[in-house]
Amino acid sequence: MVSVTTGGELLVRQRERPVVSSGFRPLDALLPAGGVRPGSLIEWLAEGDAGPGGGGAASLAFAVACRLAEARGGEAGAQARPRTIVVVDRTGWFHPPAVMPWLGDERRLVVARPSRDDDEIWTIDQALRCTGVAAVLAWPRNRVGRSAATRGSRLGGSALKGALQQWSTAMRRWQLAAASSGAVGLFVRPLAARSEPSWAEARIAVAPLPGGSRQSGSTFAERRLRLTLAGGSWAAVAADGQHAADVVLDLARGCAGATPWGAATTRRLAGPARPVALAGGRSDVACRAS
Amino acid sequence: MPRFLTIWLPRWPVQRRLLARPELRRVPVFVCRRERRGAMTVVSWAWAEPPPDERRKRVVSGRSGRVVIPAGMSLAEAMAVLAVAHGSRACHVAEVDPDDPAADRESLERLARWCRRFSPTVGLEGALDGAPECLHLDVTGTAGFFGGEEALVRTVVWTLAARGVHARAAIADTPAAAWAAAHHTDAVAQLLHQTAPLVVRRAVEGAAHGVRLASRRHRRWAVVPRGEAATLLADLPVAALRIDAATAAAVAEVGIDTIGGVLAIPARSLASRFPPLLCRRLAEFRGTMAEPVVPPGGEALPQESHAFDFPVRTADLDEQQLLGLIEGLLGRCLAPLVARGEGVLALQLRLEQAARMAAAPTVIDVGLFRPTASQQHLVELVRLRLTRQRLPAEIDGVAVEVIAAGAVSCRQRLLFGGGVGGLESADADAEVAMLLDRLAGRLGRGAVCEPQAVGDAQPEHAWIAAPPNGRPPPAQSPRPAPRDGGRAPRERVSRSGARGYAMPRPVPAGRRPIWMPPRPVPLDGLEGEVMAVAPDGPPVRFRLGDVLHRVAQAHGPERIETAWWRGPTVRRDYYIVETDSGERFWLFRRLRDGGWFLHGMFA
Repeated sequence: MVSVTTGGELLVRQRERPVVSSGFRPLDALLPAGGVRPGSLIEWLAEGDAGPGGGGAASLAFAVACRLAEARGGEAGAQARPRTIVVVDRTGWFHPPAVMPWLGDERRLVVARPSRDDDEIWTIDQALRCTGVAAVLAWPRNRVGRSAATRGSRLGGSALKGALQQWSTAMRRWQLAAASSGAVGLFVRPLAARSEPSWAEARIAVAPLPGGSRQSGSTFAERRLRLTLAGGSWAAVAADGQHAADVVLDLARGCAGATPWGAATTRRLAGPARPVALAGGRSDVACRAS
Repeated sequence: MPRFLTIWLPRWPVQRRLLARPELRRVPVFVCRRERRGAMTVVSWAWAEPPPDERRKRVVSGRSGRVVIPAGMSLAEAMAVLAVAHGSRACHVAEVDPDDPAADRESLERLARWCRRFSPTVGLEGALDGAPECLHLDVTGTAGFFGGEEALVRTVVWTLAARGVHARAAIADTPAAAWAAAHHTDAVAQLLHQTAPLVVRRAVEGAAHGVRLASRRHRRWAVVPRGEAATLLADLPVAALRIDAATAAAVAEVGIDTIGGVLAIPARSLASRFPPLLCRRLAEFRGTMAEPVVPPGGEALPQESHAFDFPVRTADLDEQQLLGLIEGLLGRCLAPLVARGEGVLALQLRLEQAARMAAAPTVIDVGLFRPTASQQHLVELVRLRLTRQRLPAEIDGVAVEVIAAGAVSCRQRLLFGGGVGGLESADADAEVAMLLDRLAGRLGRGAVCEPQAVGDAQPEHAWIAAPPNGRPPPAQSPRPAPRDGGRAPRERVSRSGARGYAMPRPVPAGRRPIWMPPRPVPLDGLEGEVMAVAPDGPPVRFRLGDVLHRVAQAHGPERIETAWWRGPTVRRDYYIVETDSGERFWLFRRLRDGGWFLHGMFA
């Protein structure tokens, strides 16, 4: 039986959902809703053209996913939040033991490994539609791991436009699926995707900050990252709020770490109050009017 | 008067492995369990087909030649005993397997279902230690179909032998008496003064193994006549009553060592002097306490089929029509299951081809991760599989069979509960289970998994993709981990957990990269190159593709030396390096030749 939901209903449902903190206060200040709104998509942009590189974007995305999947107990009248994180890994390069210490006993991690592009789009759509899923983590259209021939090929002209159109349609479907179920989609994309159209609520560029990380024993204990708001809905772009922030990711627990100098870590970028218009053309503008 | 047949499958853990891998018949097979503090004890062992010179050695040496290794003996001692009897070569070729009682039980249940040809009611024994080795069959009144009880029990033993299963069987008035008789068929047969014990020809499956004559004359079946169990079995040892060690010790203290002696004790003093288990067993032996035979797996599972009057061409058949037909069949299958409170766990759909084509039916197996009674969900899964399946040109009929069923958890739904963001956790689990079924239906069952850490030092093998809600990972090979070779001396690993396998060693967070290529990328030549100042020190500069990175900080080395049993030993020194732009990579130097590799990125 197919259920039909109108756009108006979706909007109402979206507004009724309480905004959840991402676990990092600077990041909450950056997001347009003041936190992560269940039923939305967030894009993380990282250095490197073929993969997320060593920048820390995927780790931060996973820490946010863990926070979203945290079971909330003890509040009067509160019902348990969904506890499942689904990772859609087309490349096969995801290494779960890196993040398993952050899961604990109450969260559940499911990894789906589709082998084709259309399967990947379908899997992300299905996972976002499920009310029992807290967060879906994926790196769509990532060319890492494929042969050099496919990686290096550049589509030209109309083929490129067609691919972008298909991509935009897929992303719109994901946004509607997330809005209907309350799951959050976290997508890690290369920095070159800034120019592509987006249906995400916020697009955050993640860059690592070198040096000065606290170390414990024989390994790094935390990661310092600079986040820059790089796009998203009109509300995000047009707001006069902050556009950059520094966060500290505690690698042992997968949450926000304490800063050594204790002061607030949000910073304003010196420069124009409104961000520079991003390249993208007409299609970019059209899809932002959501 | 009820009659029960008991089939005893001696050393069933070993027999199961021999059935699965016939090549193990030529070597001694030990099934071991890892106890606390790492000691390995033997659960069961056997050497099915020792080479001919070994057998001759046994006969020539003049001793009885039987190697006695009781259950519970440590593996080292057992190997020593084997070496003394057959030489050290036997120890080198011996196969040591970890204990897996769940798999033993499952295969025994499968055998029980196969034994339904002898009786409709077949059940497993309720063993005291949880490892059943016997099957009880209720053969009241069925002996006539086989030409008498003697013929029945002989047929059972020979049919099982033809399948490669070594068994002993006995018929008596109660399951307890039949159990005792089955464990001592030689003695019972002699007591019955039957003809000289026959030489049993046991035809092993597979002509390559040939036919083997039993070296000792055994009688592997026995029939205890009605009402004579107490007299006939009086001389059997007390252990044939299925008592535990404590009770056996209590009885031995008093000086009684046969069943007849126990039967002679007056009932009043029996109850006051011995543990209650003994009284219960005696009551079961005499038949005053009933011991029901419970078949495993419950009742038969429903199946429905629909045959067309004439073969239908799939080109003419609409997908909706086919799905509608399957939906109807599924509904009829689900009705009895729902009445029992169960749901479907595995389903098989068969599209029969026209008889004149004489081809095998197209079979689609749909498995679920949780039992479901939702017709809609099942039809959706079948539809996902059908779209990927090439259908035959003509179909003669459609059959739907439920292969496995399980209890469906019932939850009372709230009448006014559930808001926009609220979700009961049981609802969430059910939703996720349905999502996993759909994903597995389209991507394949191997593509959807829940990662589980295993205790392997080599990073490529540090986790396995376990099926969601599946069983815990199988016990690992009981070979001891390399001493002090797998980790730096400070990180001493803690030895085995409660069960037979080592608990996975949790790697501290932050030590492993989230992005790891399936094979390490060599950084020599085209892909990149690495420069290190000291010959065994951390790298200072490396090139990846066409980007040159300078190393600002490096942590390491973390030495991993392992996997000598998988091939050439893996010896690597791992470094977590942070470049001056803040990116972190995981590099290692292969100690064999000093080559550098990239094995991960802390994305």
